[in-house]
Amino acid sequence: MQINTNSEKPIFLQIAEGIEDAILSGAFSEESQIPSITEFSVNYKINPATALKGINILVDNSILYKKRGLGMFVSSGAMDVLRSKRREQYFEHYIMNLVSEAKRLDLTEHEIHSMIERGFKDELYRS
Amino acid sequence: MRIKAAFFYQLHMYRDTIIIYYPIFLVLLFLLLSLTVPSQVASTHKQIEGVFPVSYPNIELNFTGLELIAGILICFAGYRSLKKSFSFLLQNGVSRKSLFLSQIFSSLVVVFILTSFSEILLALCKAFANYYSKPTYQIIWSSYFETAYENRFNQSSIITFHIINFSFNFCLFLFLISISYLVAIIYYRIHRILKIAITSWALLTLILPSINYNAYSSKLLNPWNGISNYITYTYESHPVNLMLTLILLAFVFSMISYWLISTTSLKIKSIPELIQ
Amino acid sequence: MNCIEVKNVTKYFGKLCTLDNVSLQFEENKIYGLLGRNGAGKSTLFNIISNRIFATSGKVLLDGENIINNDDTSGKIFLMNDKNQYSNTMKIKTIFKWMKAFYPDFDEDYANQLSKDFSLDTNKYVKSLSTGYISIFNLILALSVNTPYLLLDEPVLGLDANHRDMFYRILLQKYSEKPCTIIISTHLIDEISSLLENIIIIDQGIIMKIESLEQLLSQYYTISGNASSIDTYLKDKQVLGTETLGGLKTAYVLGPVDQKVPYNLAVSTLDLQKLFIQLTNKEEGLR
Repeated sequence: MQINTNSEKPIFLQIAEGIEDAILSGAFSEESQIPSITEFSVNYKINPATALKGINILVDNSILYKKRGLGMFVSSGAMDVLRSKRREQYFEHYIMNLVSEAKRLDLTEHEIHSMIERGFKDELYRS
Repeated sequence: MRIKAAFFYQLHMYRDTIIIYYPIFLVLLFLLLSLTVPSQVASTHKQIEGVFPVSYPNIELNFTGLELIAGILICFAGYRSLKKSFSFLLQNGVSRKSLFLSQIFSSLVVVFILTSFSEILLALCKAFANYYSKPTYQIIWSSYFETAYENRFNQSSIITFHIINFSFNFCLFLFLISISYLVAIIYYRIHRILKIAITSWALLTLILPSINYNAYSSKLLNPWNGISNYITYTYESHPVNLMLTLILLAFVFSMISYWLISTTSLKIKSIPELIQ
Repeated sequence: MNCIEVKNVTKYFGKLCTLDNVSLQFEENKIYGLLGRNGAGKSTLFNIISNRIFATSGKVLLDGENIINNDDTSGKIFLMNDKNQYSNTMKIKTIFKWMKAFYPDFDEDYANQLSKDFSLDTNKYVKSLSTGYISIFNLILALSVNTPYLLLDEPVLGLDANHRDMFYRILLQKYSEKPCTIIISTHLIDEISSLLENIIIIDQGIIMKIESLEQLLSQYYTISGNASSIDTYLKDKQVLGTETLGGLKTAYVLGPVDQKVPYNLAVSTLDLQKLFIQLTNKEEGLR
């Protein structure tokens, strides 16, 4: 997880999304404890309040929960929740950007289709 | 709590100064003595051999007021105590009022200790003088107080004498420490040019004439005239007068010091006026 | 009401006004950044709050009490800068012992540990330290003293990159475990911006901004593209400043980030350092 202080995205959002990515990739497994606010703060050199804000977003969305005296844990079923959320966002984040960039580059819909097919084939080779 | 910590700190700083400089001063004193003895002897008898001649008739050596070397040390220590403690104590959250109070307490302790040392030194030297005195060869060791008020207290017992002498020196040293601390504060606050001007004036009119008394007789340039008149007057009166005056002056100087230090800012090197 | 209140503080050095009617409040357990150019008045403000110098007018209250001649309030603040306020004849470990007498919460073990981490030999005399190490020494004291209010005046001046990195992490660790109010004044805005919660910008003795970092950054954005399109776009906007590189022009604009932006112009946020430079660049006129 990388925090870019010069990025568009506010740091607390980067923290939230970084944790989401870690959950989705399995780095933070369900019902396991995630690093403490202090650890996030010290590791990425950010104010603890910022780290807390990012984590609270996930708590509000029931991705994480707090065990008193111990810390923050990943909720069971978090992976599924995140996957469906990301699926909904996929269209907005990726498809629309793809389309507007394609317009800028004068690519046709057919060319995009071929590229997508090629993309899946390449991915198969690489993995 | 902070006054206590500040008190011990200032005492510690005094201790450092005294441990280094008291021996130096004593050594200087000893050197001074060994220089004056031959001249004293020479003034009473033409031929001398060695530092302490033993077989010349009717020699009288006088050593007076030498314990006042502690007084000079006190002026020195009092002056330095500001520099040594002010920035440290302000840095560590001591208010100026507590700083001043701890200064008063630590100064009292230091004056008491140094006066005691001087008294012990005096007693030892007197004993030494008595031991080495012979009918034809007298060594007389007297304190400043004795010399000034010599008509009065010859009859007292030794213990009473030492108590009175101690009290007198205590008042004197108290006065000295309070005035040197006040001077330190004033010097800290004033502009550098003014400091040079005042020091030069003081050198010319106060210090040089006191070394060579006859060189300056003009009343304007020589404040010692007025001071010596006053001292002569006081020598003819009861010593308690002088002691009380000294204590009163010490108190007044302390009050002025408190007023000044309450309004003294810490000198910081990057203040804009220095840049300009 | 645990806070430091600066009320209408003005400071003149002779005829020069370094602080002009400054009013601020520092609340408990937050990290503040005090940003200003050279000579803006940051150190002067710190020196007044820590009772080293006196304000020409106005007052400072700590937890409701005036700080003048007050041992209680003086004991709750610690100022760290790159000056040596200590006796030249004392060893560092001796000074640690004295700190305990003045600050009961001083953690000597922690101070010794930090000295090891920063490679500071506690057997040395303070006068033998280089400027960088005087800063480090003062930092170690500040981190170990555990007062409710910590003022750090240019804490990383003279520190190499490794020490700076160490310092930020150690500071955050300490703040996380034992929260207190930390006010940092610095020129190195880029490095420190992610640590800060609230920002105070001071320029020529006057407070320009007092806001949370988030709030402050949300009020501005940059927009760039070809010069003529930019100029058209900027007609009804409040502009902080512009930069031109050939035909490409970038403008810094006051206002919430505009969603309806012409497709050939790129919008992005400002980082704190850029914003600070634009806000305080007035005299140099880079418009």
